[in-house]
Amino acid sequence: MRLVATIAGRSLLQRRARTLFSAFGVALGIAVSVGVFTLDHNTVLGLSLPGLSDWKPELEVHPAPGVADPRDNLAATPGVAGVTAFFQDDVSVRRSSDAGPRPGRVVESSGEPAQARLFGLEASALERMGAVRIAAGRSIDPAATEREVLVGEGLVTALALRVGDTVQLSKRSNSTSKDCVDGVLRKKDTEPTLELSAPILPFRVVGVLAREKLGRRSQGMVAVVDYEAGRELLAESRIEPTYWVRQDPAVDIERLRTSIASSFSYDLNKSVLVGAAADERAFRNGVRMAGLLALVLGLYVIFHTLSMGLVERVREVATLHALGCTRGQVAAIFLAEAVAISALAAVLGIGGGLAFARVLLRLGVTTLGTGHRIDVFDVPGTAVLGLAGLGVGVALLGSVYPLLRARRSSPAAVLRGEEVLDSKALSRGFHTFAAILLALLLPGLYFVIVPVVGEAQGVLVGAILAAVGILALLVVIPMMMPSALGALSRVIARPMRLLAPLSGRLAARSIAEARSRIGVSTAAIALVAAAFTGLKGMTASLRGEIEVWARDALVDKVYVAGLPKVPRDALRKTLERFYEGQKAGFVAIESGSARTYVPFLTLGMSTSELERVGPCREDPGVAAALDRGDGVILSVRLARHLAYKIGDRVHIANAAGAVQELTVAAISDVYGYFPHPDERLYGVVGEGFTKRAFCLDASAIDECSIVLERGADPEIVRAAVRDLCPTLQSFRFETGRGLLRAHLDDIDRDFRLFDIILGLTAALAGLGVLNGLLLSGLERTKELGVLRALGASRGQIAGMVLLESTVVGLLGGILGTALGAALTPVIVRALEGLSGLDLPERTAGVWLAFCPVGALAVAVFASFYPIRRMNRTSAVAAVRSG
Amino acid sequence: MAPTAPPIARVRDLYRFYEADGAKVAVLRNVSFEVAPGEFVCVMGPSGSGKTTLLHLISGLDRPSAGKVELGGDDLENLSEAQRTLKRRNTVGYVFQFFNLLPNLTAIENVGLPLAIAGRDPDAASPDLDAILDRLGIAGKKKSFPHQLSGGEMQRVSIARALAGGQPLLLADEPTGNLSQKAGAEVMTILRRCADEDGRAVLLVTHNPRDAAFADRVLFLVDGELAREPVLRGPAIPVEDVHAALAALKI
Repeated sequence: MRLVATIAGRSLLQRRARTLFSAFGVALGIAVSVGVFTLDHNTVLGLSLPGLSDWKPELEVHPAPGVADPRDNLAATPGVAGVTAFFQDDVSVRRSSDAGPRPGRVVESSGEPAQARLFGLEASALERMGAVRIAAGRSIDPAATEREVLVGEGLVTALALRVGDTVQLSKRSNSTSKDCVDGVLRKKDTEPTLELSAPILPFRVVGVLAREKLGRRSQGMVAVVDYEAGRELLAESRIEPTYWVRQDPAVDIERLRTSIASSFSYDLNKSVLVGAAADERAFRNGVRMAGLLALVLGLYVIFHTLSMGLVERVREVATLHALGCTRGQVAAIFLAEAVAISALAAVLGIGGGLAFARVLLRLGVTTLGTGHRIDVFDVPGTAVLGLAGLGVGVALLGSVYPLLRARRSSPAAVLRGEEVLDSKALSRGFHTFAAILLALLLPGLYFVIVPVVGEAQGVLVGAILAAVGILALLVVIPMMMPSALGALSRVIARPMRLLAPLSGRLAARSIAEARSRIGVSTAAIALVAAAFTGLKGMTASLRGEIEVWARDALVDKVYVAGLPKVPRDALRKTLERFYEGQKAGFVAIESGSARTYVPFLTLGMSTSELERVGPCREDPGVAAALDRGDGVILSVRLARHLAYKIGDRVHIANAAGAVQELTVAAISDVYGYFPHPDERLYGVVGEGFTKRAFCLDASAIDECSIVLERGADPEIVRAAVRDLCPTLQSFRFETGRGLLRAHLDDIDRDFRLFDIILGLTAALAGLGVLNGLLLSGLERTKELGVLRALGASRGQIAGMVLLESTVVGLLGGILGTALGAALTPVIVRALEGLSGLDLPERTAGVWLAFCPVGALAVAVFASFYPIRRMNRTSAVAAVRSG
Repeated sequence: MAPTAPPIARVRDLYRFYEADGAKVAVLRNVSFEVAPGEFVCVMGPSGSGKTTLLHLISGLDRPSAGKVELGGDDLENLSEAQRTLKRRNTVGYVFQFFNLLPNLTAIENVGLPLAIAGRDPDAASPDLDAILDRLGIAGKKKSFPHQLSGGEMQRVSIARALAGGQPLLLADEPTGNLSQKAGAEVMTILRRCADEDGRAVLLVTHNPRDAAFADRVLFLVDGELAREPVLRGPAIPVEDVHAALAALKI
């Protein structure tokens, strides 16, 4: 132990630069991945929090008329993990007198009823739905002969209840809510005899709900009963059949929605599904993959550094053997060093990663874009420890390889001064080992990530992994064929010799001899350059898609909101008056006032306005369908997400829960875009439908978009509104072109997180170059000393290193940029498949030039410290040492 | 000094072949001799005659192609690698031509290395280590790192390291090869005293006649074989006799 501590400790302290840069390499990789996963975890958690106290399953579903046996139908639907019939209502709960008096805090005496929220769920599905957690007692027995109830903690306190007590439940009739029936609002349950006739039924308390999930509702004043038993309580009331559906995490929500849409209307619980939409998942996984890319790169570089460190230490190992060290002792020394470096890296990586995530969250940067305010910070312990463990594990593997190599080398041969480590064989061995590691690591990462985020993500993750895999192969294969790199080196060497006779000659020889090191450094730089180019190509495509979409949906419109419900006709007349005599006028008014969100954002609009532009003008049948109230126009993205075609049926539950069927009359982005969270996933119906089904009036406008003729002055709209509403203090006014700019800025801002991550990855690649050069300097201490002794200037030594890094930077930059450009269409097509966007082919533009220049800058910058170190080498000491 | 006790090291009919360009090259052929406790034996020979290989075989770092090596009474061929390592640790102190000091350790830490390898606490043996450094005249350098020492000082540290473990046999591989004449003479005096004062056996391989003159017995290795004659015997072998022997053997 003493021996291990002395030699390992001294080695770490004496080679401080190697220790710190190695640890920083692993730490940076761990920090980026930990930071990204923590950021993502808190993004989802933070944006879900408002919904956490109001537990719901992913979907609330209403069957369409005529659907036979909807429960079994739902249960058989792919992607449904659990289903239950469901209702909820207000009930009075009274403890039965046979329960006797109870000590403790009793808010309401056993004689007084407590008011609670009643949930009726199928007892047999309770566990599968995960809707409750039992704190005491048991769940409801589906086969029980008596009625059973689970009560919340609030109710237990209020009525001093215990498991085994009996309570009396009866429906409350003080509801003031209203139903919309055929366009008219009516007070619910107006029958005067209902309260008198509502049954009062006894239920046995079999369990107490923990204060989570449904147990959190209404401050714990909750009762959960079997659906059928609960129906007896509401015998006189009308219950629209409703089901709660839990999503199978292995199946995308889009696929589930598509599967049930043919027979059901559904309400998506967005607080449960934060970050689960296809485009959100694509973005989140892109961020995660970028983080993992950093980790893999960091580990690859550090693995190489540790492995190649053997060359420097081989004589030391032989000496230790000669002095009586066993192989176990030598192994312990190497492992202790690797453990110390890894542990330091893990601590720095975890700390740095958490700080990185925290800072980004404070700045409003999330894995779902920027501008979100998230006040929580929770550490995803398992993921963080897993990533740190992965980093430490690979760093330890990096120490195993030199040990395996050292085991095969003869101490006697080393002591004789023979070159026992054939650098070519060593390089081949390293790359074989690294290739095997990559081959195991990449599929491993795939299987870790894909099940978490859903099946369709396989496309994107697969594409990215394929990209990384191809890149790894493209880099590894040439390095495993030294002749290829050798030939390349000779080509590179020629001009370098002409450029700077001594420095060029030395650099050329260094490159030719250290193919492995050059290869790894080049690969690291290339990987980052490729990722940057791919990312920039992808964002260019996204920007292009928005520009194309905006031509239909945005550019010739003006958005106005915050109006005091002005009549549409009045607004039209005012606009006509203001645009009179103008070169270009206004076309139509799209009302945004009548909107409902089941199963998606649906806007009611006047067909007389819609007929003035787009599909309704081109095809009178579309306008007629909307006018009749049996047609719907879907936005392109929604239709693509849910696989709707023209002529398909869409089921929409009205305000009373009754499901109505509409036909997809057109798919277009011309109408209906409003800058809201559901911005590009919506449908447009006739205003008659929203009136009848939801009692929403589209003719009184508080929000609208005004379609203008090309070239019309949007400011005239502002003036017209002011004229129409002279007392209005302020209102929202945005031009389509302004919104387009905002959209494009959003893309740039949202993808800034990728820039940050890739920036850190570039630093990591630079660290790889730096480590390689430092190692090279150590290997060549004697040579450098001799050169200095023979009169080589510091500038000539610096020139040699600079030329070498220039080659690494240029080779890596050009190779990476070319690969990134080649892979961009693959990534864009994968993203297109996931997000439902029609992404145009775009290149990375100016980044195709910036990336090689940036790569060169990183490599040259990374050479400064090694140059300083090499120039500080004592010529006397170097030539004197044996 | 005539061998009276069982030898600390004995080699019998030793052969060592290496593969070079597909051909088998004999580095050592039919080598037999022994070293008694407290005896100072020198094996002389030109570069490439197999001297270093001989030391590697005796220390168990390398294995013979044929023949037998006995160290401390044990046939190394019968020992596993781990057992050979332990045997070397307990029996052999090694002095290298190129010192082979660990560059990250100070002089005193390098000297204490055999103790640490054996699982002992070098700090506990600090007075003994200081005494060794003092005896070798480098007490003032004990906190210095190897790169801060001269060649002679580094070799003294190397000898101190070989002495610190207390092993009964010192193997010295051209210990003066990188030193000045004066520093070389000082190193040889130290080795001589190790045999005389500590009773350690010393097996020195060298091509330097002045070093050989310090030995009790000088054997000559020519083309991998030990010459039967002459065998010079001390004490105080005249350097001229060594030169004459070399001339007779056409070395």
